[in-house]
Amino acid sequence: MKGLLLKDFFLFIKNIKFYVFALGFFFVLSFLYNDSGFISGMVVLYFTLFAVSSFSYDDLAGFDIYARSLPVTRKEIVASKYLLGLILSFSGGVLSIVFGLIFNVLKGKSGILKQLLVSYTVICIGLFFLCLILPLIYKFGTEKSRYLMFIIFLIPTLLFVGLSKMNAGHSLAEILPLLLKLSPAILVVFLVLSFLASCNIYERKE
Amino acid sequence: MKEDALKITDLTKNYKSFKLDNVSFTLPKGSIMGLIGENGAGKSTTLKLILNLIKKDSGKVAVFGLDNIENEKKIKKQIGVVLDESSFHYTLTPLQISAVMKNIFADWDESLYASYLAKFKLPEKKIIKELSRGMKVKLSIAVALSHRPKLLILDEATSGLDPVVRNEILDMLLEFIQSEENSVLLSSHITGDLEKICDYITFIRNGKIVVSEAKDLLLEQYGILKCASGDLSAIKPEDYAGYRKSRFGCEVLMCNKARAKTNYPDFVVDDAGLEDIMLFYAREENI
Repeated sequence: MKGLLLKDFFLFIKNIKFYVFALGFFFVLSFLYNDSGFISGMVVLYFTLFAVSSFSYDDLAGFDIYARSLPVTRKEIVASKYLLGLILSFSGGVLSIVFGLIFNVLKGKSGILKQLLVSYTVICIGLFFLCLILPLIYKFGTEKSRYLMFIIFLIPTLLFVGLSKMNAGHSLAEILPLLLKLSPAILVVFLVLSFLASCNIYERKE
Repeated sequence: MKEDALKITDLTKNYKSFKLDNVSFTLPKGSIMGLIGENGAGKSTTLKLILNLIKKDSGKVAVFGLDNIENEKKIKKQIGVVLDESSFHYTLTPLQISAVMKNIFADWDESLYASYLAKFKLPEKKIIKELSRGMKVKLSIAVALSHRPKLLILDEATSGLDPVVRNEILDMLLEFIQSEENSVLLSSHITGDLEKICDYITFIRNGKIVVSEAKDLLLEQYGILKCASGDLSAIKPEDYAGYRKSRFGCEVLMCNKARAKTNYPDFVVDDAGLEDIMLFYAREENI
């Protein structure tokens, strides 16, 4: 499994120039708008989404079927993608904190706690998204999942907009702290369920 | 008695429009078997079933005497596979592939891999995209051999390559089976290549095995009888497997060359090559 992860990391590194450029852009944007949210959010999102891109890379090379001819089980192949997503998401999270702190220092702001909270929230959103998209990729393939990705983004956005319109954000503000406290547990449950679903789908895939 | 590297019994797989139908053949250790057949005949399906990439409906596959599903991981540690020109993304380098494979195969031999790269003149740090098709195939073979497998499976590896590179690859395979422990199963529709190196030939057509035989026996067995178009009726249908008519007369693929020579002394009976056998069978339905 380590080999499979290594392969994805090599591919990730090939994209490093693009990431540096994109993140540079968002750093400037954060600076202009005086909000570290741009850079903190995007670094985590970019990193986590690479786990999704890695499927396209595999498709292009026909790596998936080759991987199944190697002495690794299908479960290990699936696990390698989840692990890739987790590692990238947390690496992105660390960078997000670092960028946020640099931003604060440059802007003469304080608020390390707020920064940690922002980074943590973005990690949660990224992983939550990953949990939804990975089983879909295994079920429908990379191409179709691209469209499903939009829908997945759209539903929670509409839900939040709808909720805040209905109650002027009052009850939402009450739920959020609770949601935050429960988030680690929710995330673990989601990860486990998602992983099991992906394994189940992939075991039967031909 | 030689142990079998691979033994397939009544292997069946149903698709909507295609059926791999009770395929059986045996590859003895220390030999090379060629799987021939038209595109879509079932060669790749057979190879995929051996590797458990797709699920069989019935039948049995034994690799080194072990069931291929029960002992999947153990078996795959000893198999080298070449599925395509390259199964790695085109931005990776041969050196990076080695780092990846080292973490997949416990027996990965870096120095052996380096020696293959040197032998094939493959630059370690060049990305795959910049390699020619021939070099990509050679890289795939180098990758497949560097954990010292006992069975090498190649799917159409020599297709689309120039004769020089094809020969290099064929030599490589011959060198590989110098060790009596090693065996090769390769599918191809380039019959000339198979005729050159294979000990056994399995001919598959419409999902069924037409013949699976030692190559020398096969070439000895079949013959081509040449006659005028009008003389075809003089030949018993059970004696031949197919025929083709041309302006100059008729060529008939005889199932038993020696018998044909005795039974039909008035006609010329020549040797048949693998390509002839494949082509005549392909016309079988025209009879």
